[in-house]
Amino acid sequence: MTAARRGTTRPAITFLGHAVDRTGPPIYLHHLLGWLDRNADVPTRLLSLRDGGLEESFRALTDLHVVGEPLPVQVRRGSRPLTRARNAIRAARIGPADPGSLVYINTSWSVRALRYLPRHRGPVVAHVHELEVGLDYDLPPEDRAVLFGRSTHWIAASGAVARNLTDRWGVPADEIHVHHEMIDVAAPGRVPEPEVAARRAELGLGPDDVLAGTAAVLNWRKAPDLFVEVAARAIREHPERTLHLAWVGLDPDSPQARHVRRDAVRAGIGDRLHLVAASDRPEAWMRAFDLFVLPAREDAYPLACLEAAAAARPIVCFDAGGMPEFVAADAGVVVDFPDVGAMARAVADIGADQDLRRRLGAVARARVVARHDTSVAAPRWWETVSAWMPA
Amino acid sequence: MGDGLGVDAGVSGPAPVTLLLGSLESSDALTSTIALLEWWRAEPTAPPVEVIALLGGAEAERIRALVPTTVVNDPAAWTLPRVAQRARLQKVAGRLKSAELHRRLKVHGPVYLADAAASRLLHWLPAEAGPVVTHLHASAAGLGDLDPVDRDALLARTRRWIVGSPELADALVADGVAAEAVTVQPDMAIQREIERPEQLAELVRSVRQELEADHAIPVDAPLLLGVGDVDWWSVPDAFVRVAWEAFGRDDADAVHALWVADGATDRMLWPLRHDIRHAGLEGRVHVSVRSRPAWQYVAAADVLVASRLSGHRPIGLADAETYGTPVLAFEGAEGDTASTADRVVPHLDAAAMAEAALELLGRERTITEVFRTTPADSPVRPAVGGPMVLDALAGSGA
Repeated sequence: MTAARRGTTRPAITFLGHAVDRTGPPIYLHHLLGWLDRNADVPTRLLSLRDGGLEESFRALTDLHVVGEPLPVQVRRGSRPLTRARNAIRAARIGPADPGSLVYINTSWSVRALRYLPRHRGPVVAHVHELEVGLDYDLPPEDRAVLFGRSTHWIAASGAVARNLTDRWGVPADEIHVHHEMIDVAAPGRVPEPEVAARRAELGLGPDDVLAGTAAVLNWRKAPDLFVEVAARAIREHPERTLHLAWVGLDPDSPQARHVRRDAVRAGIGDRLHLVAASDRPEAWMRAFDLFVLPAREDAYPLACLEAAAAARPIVCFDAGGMPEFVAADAGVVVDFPDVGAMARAVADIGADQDLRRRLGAVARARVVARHDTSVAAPRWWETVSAWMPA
Repeated sequence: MGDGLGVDAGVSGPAPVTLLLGSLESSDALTSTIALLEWWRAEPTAPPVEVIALLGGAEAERIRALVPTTVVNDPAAWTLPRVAQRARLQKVAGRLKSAELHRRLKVHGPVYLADAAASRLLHWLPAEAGPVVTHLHASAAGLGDLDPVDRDALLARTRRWIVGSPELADALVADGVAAEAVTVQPDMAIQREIERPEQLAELVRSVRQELEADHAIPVDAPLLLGVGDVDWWSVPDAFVRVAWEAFGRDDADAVHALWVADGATDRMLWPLRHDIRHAGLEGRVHVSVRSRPAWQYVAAADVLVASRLSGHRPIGLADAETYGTPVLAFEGAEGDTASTADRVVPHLDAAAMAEAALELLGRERTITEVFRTTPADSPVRPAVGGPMVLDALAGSGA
């Protein structure tokens, strides 16, 4: 069914998102909305704080409002009336939440959009995709207070997220439902072989070269510094092997990219470490990789890893965040944080052994098909969430 | 606090000097400038001087105590551009900001640009202002990190250059600067009161007792030190990696590591503490928002780990040289870091740095006693180097 518009009297879901761009949580929400559109008779709308490259695609699935960041009411003494008035005008434009609706916060930052629904008294689901960086560092205390004060139901993107919510924030463990991320596992298979070859050719790779890649924005949490160190160590210790590494998804002209490039050059691997701009076809890059490296200091349960697994690529990650729950002992290698030497050895060893890559990659592929395809994960999610819908 | 120059160019006496800085965060280059300002303030024949800095930092109060100081981008100050920015009126904010910079930089006399990062301010400097003398300290990164527009502005407006090393002079000449416009002058140093070994021993004892009381670091534990006001989100540093590699070795049981965060806020330090916690290094790697000047920690440490990957040169290198604290650095580090280090390891090779750190522990210490061994006419002394800067400012305008 198509998304219902405002004014319906049936129970509805108002999703709150931080953006409609090509980062993990919006893509997750896009998968969910697509599934709901096809399979559930529930009106939906989405309040997104920012726009992004998937705006049109979201509009086809739901009643999308790009609402902008609300001003914090405590900006400065004396500014509260004006700030409240501005937020109220925006809230009026958006319209009230249906009395029988459920509000679904997809990423903790999105809780800020709750200010546009001041009269909502129904259930509020917090779908937390963040660990310490997102909750402790990024989220302002006043928003954190709203998140923990208003949420009536909890969904965690991984067991690691659930543990963090319990251990650091006191959310009872039995109130948290873990729903891992979901993807379209068939996507990599639809990439034509010439496109995969073109990606590798872009980097100047030959058929015998091994490409270990990662895909993420560039910031401290994603750990480009550790990635370069892993690359340098793996290449220095095995100069005879033609190992290349690529970071896909960055802005090559950004200051952060300049730092990474300079580090790579200084480490003597400038010709082996490739920085690649964000792509609207990440699945093509996953096919171009021979293995996936996740150097992140923490990551709840990155979609990029699942996309790599869908392309039957093994994953090497730190024992940090949620990805060890997926990789376990047989879909790649998990090393202690921050044992860069062990990660470099794993990358070099898997890179050098095609049979090992195939074996680990096959396990990864089977696991992602069984657990994370939208056709499998979305019904499980809906089973949980539909029970929380107001009568 | 100053607000714009506030100096009437029409009064008699030497023309007032505007000193432009990029930030007031601690660095060896800024230490040299502070040494100059301490001399400047006490020198009766020196012209009045006022500092205009693009960004604030840990040394702001110290500099304000010496000369009138204005910080253009002060996040704590509520200015019209900031109000407009918070209201999401970006174009209005940009125009207001530009107008404010024009007002603040309405100067007429000589301009002493002591930090290449301040070149951004040149875009608002009136054409009639100047002459501009630019000082590239030995411990700074040169022009390599500047945006091309700022770099072009700096090259176009600078009449005379003072550089801290012959390499920086060569680089400028390669950029088309006339060799006769460049003077090589070593960075200036602040005179400490520690000149004899027994004074150093007493200082070290005092610092170590304080560290034992505050962080439970035994007074006799070998200590690896990192120093800086690092914003870990934007300036990567391998300190935790080096510590992790070191503590994994059999011969490092008693070793501790300390990061002295130079006036950093908890938010700036959050990522560092995150890594320490997740690497299982709590109790071995400590963070101190310093209660003493950084040089005292440098004097009390066994090894200074200069593990910054990019950005500015780490601070403390000059102090380490003075007090005989061995320094470790990555090859190719900023400025003259690698050439002044006792040991360099391949870039980003934290394991090699850890191994070298453990080898350097226990090395015999000697005070270089810079002020006793430095000749009386050395420009390292502000009393010698300071007049050279003033000559450049006066001569460049002639």
